Amino acid sequence: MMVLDRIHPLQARLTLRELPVEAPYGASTQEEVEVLLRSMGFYFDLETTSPPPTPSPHQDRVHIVQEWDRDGSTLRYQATVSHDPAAMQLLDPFAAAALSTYGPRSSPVLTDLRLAIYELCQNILEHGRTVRTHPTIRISLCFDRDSIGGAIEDDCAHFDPLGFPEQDIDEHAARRRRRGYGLTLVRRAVDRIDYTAIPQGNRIEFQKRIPR
Amino acid sequence: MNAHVDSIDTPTFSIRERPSAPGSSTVLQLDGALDADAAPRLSDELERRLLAGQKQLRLDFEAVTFISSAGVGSLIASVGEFRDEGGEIVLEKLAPELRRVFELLDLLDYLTIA
Repeated sequence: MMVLDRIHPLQARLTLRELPVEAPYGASTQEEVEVLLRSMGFYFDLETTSPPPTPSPHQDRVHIVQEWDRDGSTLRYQATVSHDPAAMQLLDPFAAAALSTYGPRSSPVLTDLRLAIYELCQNILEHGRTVRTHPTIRISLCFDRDSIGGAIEDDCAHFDPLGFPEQDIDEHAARRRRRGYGLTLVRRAVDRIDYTAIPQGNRIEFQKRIPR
Repeated sequence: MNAHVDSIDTPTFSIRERPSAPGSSTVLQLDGALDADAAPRLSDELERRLLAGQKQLRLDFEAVTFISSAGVGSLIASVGEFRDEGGEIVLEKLAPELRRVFELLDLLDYLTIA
């Protein structure tokens, strides 16, 4: 295979992991890597093959790994950030990935998904600090034909943000409240959301259906 | 009237006053992501202007790229505070993805959107 002659798989993986947030996603080099991995049926496990990212005082980095199911029907993206990020910076690569798969960035599905991820990450960054100064957040997204599924894991103390009842937004507005809208927004932005306490922290899974 | 700043800049969000005709509402041009970092700055600026007697404001969202729940909370509280003083904040040039945030929270009717 011609591509194999030019790029070694290990080199390809490094390219993916070292992609800075600021780099335009879908750059020619990365596309080439994607084609390579897809053509090989390449499958790897981030947890066992990727070292934790090194925090930089000057530049937030997101480490992105993409993997395809062996049948090529499902595309997964996974990102890990290990120091205090602007959670927004995590989202554009995901939005860009979804853009290439499902259409315009401004579609309601992507808007809702982006909101949900941002709010969940922000919640961890705000409330996880009390236990760990720099929580590690791991985000996974899985795209298939009918839905976009996601999981967000952290290594903070067990805390179920979904254990609280949905807020009365009208009352919030009437009382001029500036906070307390986030989890309501998350609940309404996705079609399904579940919380699980895991040994190392917390896991929230969500799913957004793609309208046909 | 108390003095106020004409612009506030942060790495990802800025507020600038746009020149407007005498007697018309002040227009503030917002630029960037109205997220948890930016929301307090917007609240502070709106409060400062309300205290300075500027009760009619228009917020231009054309260059706003994102609104989080913190941004929503900042706007909702400020709108209420302006109304308490007989004023109004009008949101203009809201992109569909920004309007969607308020729609999810059933807040479109609460706001005045031009």
